Amino acid sequence: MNWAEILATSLFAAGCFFFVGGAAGLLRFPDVLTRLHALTKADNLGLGLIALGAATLADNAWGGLKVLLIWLVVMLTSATCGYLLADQAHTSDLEKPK
Amino acid sequence: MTPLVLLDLVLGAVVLGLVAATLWSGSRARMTMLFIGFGGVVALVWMRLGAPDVALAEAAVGAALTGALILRAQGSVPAPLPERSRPWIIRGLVAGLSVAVFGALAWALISLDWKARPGLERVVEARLPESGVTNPVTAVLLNFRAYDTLLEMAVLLIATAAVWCLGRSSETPQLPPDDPLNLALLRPLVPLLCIVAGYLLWLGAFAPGGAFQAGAVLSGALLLLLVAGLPRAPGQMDTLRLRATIAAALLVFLGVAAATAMSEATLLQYPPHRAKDLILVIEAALTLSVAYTFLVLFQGGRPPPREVRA
Repeated sequence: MNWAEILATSLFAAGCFFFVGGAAGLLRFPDVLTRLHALTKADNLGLGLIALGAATLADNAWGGLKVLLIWLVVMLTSATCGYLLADQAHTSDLEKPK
Repeated sequence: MTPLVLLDLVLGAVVLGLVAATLWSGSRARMTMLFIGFGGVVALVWMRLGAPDVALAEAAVGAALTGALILRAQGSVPAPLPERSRPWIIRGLVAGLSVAVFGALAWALISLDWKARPGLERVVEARLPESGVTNPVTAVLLNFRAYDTLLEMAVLLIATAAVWCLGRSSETPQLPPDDPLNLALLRPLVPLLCIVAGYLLWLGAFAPGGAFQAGAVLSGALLLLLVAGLPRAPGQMDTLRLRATIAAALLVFLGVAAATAMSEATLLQYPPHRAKDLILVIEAALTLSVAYTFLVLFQGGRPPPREVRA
């Protein structure tokens, strides 16, 4: 195992930790808004770490940049989706804990 | 046990678990979400099986677009019948057919001699240089078995015609118009999706990608515009241009077929030095047609004709 692989593996592990945290938040938090918070925050960070890990393993710079571009697009979409869902929940009165 | 075997076992278990969860979830919204998740996991399974082309198609068409179609259809289908009122004959028939298909496939897989594979792989490899592309999947789809793809496009066109015959499209559910954040997302995302579609189309010649995946990505961009409630979003009106775009792939394909039949004496046998150009032209038309076909299917009916402007 060389240094790049060790770095990538630790980044993957850290990313997975945030995904598990996001999933736990989705299951355990009481209402729509807190669940959305857990999902969007944790997934962005988790995916970012995994994308960074994949980028360190990429064969060339272009491959790594493509992976980071995917992360950027997912951040854009998940932030907007989180907002749209929260807005919908807010207007349709879903935000109260059940 | 190697870690990869473990991963495969986990993936297989997740697929089966998702199927069970989808079938027994009881709520339509939850079923749809689980089905979309199922498509994503199946795409991973295809990756593990070494079929990235199929994985891309499954993720783009199987999970994303089919999921969108099912979500869209939920609004236009009346609320589900109570559990008991569904006739048991139909349920029995569905269950019997499913078990029969599963049994036949399982039997075929078990009785297959995995060592003596049918030798098509080698034939494709041997003729690949003549095909105009270096990706064997694209070579098979657009050259060696191009008539399969031609007929597929005909099927898509007939399906679109059938949906249009069912009636007018109902109002497309839309996000609140002029939402600043949604528009801020669309401004970079839609052009980026168009670039990705073009990239996938070009990539298909030598790497996993191709017209269907590109068309799925492009239709994603079109659907985003439609759902955002933009007044000039494509596909809202039944215009000649819309119809021409949907039929473009079949028309181009038929044109190429007729031209090759006359010049080469065989249907769809491209001259090797022109093969790459012909494949690219057909794939470009395929991408557009697939994208607009999904856009029209999403609307679930024929869009209203162009309004006469005063």
